[in-house]
Amino acid sequence: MEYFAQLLVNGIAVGAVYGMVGVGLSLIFGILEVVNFAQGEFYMVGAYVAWYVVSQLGAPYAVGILAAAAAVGLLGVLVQVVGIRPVAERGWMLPIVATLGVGYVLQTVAIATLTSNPRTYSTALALKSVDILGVTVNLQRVLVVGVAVALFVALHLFVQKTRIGKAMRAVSQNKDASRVLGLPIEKIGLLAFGVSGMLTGVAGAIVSPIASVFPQMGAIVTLKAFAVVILGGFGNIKGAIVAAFIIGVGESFWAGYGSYQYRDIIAFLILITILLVKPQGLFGKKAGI
Amino acid sequence: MNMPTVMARLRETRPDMVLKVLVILAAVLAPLIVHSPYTLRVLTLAVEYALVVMSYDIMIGHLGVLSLCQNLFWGLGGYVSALLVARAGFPWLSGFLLAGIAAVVMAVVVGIPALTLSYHSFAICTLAFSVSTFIVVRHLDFVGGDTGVFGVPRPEVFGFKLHTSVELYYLILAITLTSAVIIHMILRSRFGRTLAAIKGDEVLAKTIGISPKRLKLYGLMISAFFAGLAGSFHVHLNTIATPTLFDFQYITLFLIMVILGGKGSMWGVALGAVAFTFVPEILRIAQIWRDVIYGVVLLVTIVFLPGGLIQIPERIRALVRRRDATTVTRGQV
Repeated sequence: MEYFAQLLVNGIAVGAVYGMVGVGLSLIFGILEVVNFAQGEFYMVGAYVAWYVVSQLGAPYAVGILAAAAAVGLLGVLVQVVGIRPVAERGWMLPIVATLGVGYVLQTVAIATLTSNPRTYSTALALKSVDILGVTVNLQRVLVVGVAVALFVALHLFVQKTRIGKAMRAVSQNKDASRVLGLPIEKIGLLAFGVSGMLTGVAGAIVSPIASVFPQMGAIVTLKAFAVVILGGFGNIKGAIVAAFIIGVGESFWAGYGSYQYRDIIAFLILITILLVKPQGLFGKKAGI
Repeated sequence: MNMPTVMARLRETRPDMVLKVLVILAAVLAPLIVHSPYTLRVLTLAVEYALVVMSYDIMIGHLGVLSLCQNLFWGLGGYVSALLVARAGFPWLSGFLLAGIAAVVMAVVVGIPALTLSYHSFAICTLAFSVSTFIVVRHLDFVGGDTGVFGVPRPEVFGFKLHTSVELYYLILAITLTSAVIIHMILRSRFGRTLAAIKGDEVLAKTIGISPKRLKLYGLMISAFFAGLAGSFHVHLNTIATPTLFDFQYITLFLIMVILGGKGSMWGVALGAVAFTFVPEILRIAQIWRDVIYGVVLLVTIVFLPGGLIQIPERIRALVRRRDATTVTRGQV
């Protein structure tokens, strides 16, 4: 029972991370219909920024998180302007290839400037654990879940209550009608990339003290985020959040009770199964963002 | 057909034809000019990748479907050939052909479920198959786990053991040219024109009794067959099959060669294969910045030559024409 609870707690923390990256991916897809293969590299950059600001510059950890959010948010906007927008009208394949190119550049820049050596650092929270009914809970993991939930709520309020958020929803539901209404589609595309970058950057930043930071860390995360987005329904943000926790917990149980070696495969099995059984995802596209 | 039209046709096609013949001639004569075994090795890889991307382009360029598992067929072909020849003692030729057939079987396994999907969902589903295979192969002791299958012998064709770099180069050149002719004939046939119909308008194709799903599956099978052959060559060239064949980096590599070479054109994608095999080698002088520059080159090509390298002559012609046009206008003023 304790083992079960422990796996559940770990799975929720993992799910929170997949959720942030997956929601970022879903947001871009919902607005721009681009599958961003560089999403995992956004996560990697966020982790590096936090590592650098905290362990190299000696700033407080909160500053590291904010710096990661700002840096990766700006990076997202830059990627949209330089890489995606010029090819946006050239069919649906080319933007995908462009994001692959962006991911490659980010990864290789990280290797060239910071080497492939894994970096580790720690924060006060990462070193502390509490015991709850025999389950050891690392406080950094609590922070991961807390930050994720706070961001999901903030994003929800943003798209439901603010004018620009409503405009984003409109674009994701019907691009042509939005254009007719004169909504600033270009700006909304930039915003989607910016918000997506911020979310994903924060994900990297809050995981970095309990994981090692290295240039290729994003690759598998991109693939996991694909599973999240497919399970939740393309462009469906609430669906992505639920899906992320399902995959995170599923992975944790699979690793704990099944095969640790094959722990990464479960997300892809879920992905293939859901595509074949219910290709619109668990919740379909109708909910939108 | 009367004589003047024939002449006109000839005049129209000549520059293109001459260029194509010259390219093939250059490929055949390359080992006489290139003496460095290293350069010849890079060229050998380029010709092999040309085969992979020509087969890949059946999906991307001719069917307009983004599959992301070409390296799965390629790697599977490699493993099947390596296991049969190195472990089970099969002759090279049967390993080579069975590699292609195994890839076709895999295409059916992936294609039947995945082709119920379209666009991004199909792409991600095929990617999931490829990534899952990578994970499985790395942990299967039976196929050597992370170390892979080593000691794969060099190809032996009708009793001749090919082991020098020149012999291996001519082997892959022969394989690729033969396959290219076969792929060209398939695409020109009635079947190939049906593929074009699907790409043009899937709904319309359905109304005239074409099953897009079935034809896409046939396309995937053909595509896989040639990728499997190339994979077999690859492991006999390197004398080892490693799980990295299934790595994501090869999906990216092949996709870039197709898109940035010029999808839908066999010459275009072949050009892409040669260019993007040589660019990283040339960039070696940049040392640690090599990969970064390579990535930037890719991005610049995507943005400025979205139709691929094959567009370059067209682009130049358009530029020249525009300049002529401006001179004329100025003259009139």
